[in-house]
Amino acid sequence: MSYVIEVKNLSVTIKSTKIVDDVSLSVKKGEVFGILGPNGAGKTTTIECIEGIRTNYTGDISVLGFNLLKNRTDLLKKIGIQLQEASYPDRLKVKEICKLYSSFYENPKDFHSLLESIGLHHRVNTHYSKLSGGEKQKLSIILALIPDPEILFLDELTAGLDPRSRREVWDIILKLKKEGITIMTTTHFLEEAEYLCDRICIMNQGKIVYTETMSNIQSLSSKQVVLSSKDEIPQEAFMAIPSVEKVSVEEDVYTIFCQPDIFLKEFNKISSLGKYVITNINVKQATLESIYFEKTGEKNE
Amino acid sequence: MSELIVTQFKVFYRNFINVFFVFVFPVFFIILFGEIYGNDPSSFFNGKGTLDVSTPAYIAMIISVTGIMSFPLTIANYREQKILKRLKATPMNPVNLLVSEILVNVVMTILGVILLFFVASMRYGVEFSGNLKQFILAFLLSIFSTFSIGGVIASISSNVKMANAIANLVYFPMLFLSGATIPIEIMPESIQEFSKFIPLTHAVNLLKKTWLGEGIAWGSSNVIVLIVILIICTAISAFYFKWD
Repeated sequence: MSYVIEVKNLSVTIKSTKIVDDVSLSVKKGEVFGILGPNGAGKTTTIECIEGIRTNYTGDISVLGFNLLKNRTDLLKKIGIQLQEASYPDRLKVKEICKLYSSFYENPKDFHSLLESIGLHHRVNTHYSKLSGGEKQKLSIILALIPDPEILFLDELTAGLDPRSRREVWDIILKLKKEGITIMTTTHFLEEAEYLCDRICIMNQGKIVYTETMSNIQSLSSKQVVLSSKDEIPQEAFMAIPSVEKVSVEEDVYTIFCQPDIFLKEFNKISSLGKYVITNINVKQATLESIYFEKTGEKNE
Repeated sequence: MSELIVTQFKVFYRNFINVFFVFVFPVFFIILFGEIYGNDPSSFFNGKGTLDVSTPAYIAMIISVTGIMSFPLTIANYREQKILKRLKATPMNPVNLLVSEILVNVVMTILGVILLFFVASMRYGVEFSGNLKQFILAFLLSIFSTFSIGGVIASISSNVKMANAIANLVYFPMLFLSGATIPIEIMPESIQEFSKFIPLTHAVNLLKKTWLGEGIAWGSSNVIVLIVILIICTAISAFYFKWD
């Protein structure tokens, strides 16, 4: 397994506050890796350290085998970066910005074909200030692709876009994913992560609190029955039912990891459970959303 | 680097305010004073005409527009809009940006001076009566000294609003109290005394002397003040400069 990004014990402290707290992660070649988390979780700070833009960190970061503190410029030749909140001079045309960014690289990709494939070629003579939010984001993707990067970094790519532009941008990223480019992205849109990512981690208060592949998360889904009872039901009672793998109890809510169809069929047959009053029973879609709210401690309303 | 310079040129000339203050405003002043006073030899200016004396002062005015307004405001805007930060995420050496921005402003300054001199000489017969080599040295020293003040403004301002406020605070008193627009000779003594503390006054004096061929001692206070400003302000700029 070859990792193109390896981060070990990354911490960033600003004014005695730990913005990023002992983060370790690795990304495989060709993988789309998403960092999820609420605002202020440290996502942007983490990705900026990995991109080589931020140097006030402790820990080890290796990207494409480069040590960032020594070979920052060499790395920047091989990666494409879209920054949260970055922009370009208002009075420059799309074409001129592309030309400028092409001049920074030895073998830039032809920006005309990028404009074509991303669908911005009709705006080539438009001033940056006249572009819509979606078009600006498309331009930032084009500029990130000009170096023909081995890794593409996307930070809050679709924040502030309307649903249609968001979907368009996602489709562009999906297309790039099919071409086999490695992508690291941050987002607080769970739908975006579900749509694009192969693997995600969830950050909260500077720490990684969860890492899992999307395919595992999806197969975890529909494998839970959630049941409420004021009575105290021993866990063994549930474990006796076929297909039950695990039971977790929180106050009077029992989450049972099982195959719901088998569980529900067998549940009524077990007489020992008959004495308990069940107030509510649900088959739960343990989606990324429920995991997210559980891990970040935010209330799902 | 060449693409970066071309780009910075476009950013400069597409900004109406830059074009107005570098090309239109100084010419407007020369025509205004030309029409009022003409350029006949005057005993008040040791036998030179009003415009003979004013032209080098207006050159200082152009330098202060590019150095104290255009250059730092562009950099502050780039910082505020995260344009600088985005550039930092490329393999380009970030120093190239500063170099090309200064270069563009210096070239625009020179073009502004050429236009000013063209109008002044065609319409009012203003002549250059100094030593060209000395004048160019004085011109370059004035440019770098003034730009270093702009560098401080560019470095300490986190946004355009702040840069604008500081630039205006520095620029306007400097413009009117240094002799760059209104000859300092017609000011009351107290203001003439005060103007010695304004950096641009020394640039105006140096440009005037070398323009009019009065000759200049390179150890004179004007030269020393400009060099000291250049060194101190460059050091401050380098210390405080931030990309984001």
